[in-house]
Amino acid sequence: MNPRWNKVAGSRAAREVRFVLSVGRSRGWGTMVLVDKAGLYGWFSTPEMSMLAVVVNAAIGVGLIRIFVRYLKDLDELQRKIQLDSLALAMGVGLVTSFSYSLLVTTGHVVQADVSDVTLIVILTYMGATILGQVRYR
Amino acid sequence: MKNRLKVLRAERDWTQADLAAALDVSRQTVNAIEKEKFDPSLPLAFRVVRLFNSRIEDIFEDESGGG
Repeated sequence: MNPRWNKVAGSRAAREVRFVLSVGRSRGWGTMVLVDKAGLYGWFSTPEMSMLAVVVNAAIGVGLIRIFVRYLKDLDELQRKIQLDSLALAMGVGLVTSFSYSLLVTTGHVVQADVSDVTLIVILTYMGATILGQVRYR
Repeated sequence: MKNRLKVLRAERDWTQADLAAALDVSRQTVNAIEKEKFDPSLPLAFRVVRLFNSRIEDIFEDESGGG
């Protein structure tokens, strides 16, 4: 068999793995935000349930980090550059947003602070920057 | 950075997907290099050179003209 076709098959399999990992990642982020919002709006009736939610949230977070590291290692150099650019922008937006948000809370312009709002903005920035990067290097 | 990747690929009648598979990168990366939107790393440039059995200066051209 031509080794080129082996590489094509490998590449296709890698793409499928990447797809599955990206789906898992987005669902994981969604679950984390949902658990956070559930705590804020008092959906947990007992302290034990709240603690369980914290543990589940932390476990999902650790799992997401491992998946994301594996995902980054699987990418080629252009895709890694797109991810780096997106993450840099998301981190910048996250820092600016959290400092601004903190100032708004301190000055009393925002009454009920919720850290998951910042998390959502960071995730949306990361997603938007990734899509723009993919379009730019299409 | 200017390059002759598209010409060399066309001479061999390879698709971008064929070249991407041979270089173990995505088709998107091959396309970006061909369109000079993205400069490959040195290891990838050497993989290209080995694949086409050529020299690096025969495939890639430094637009800054330094040397």
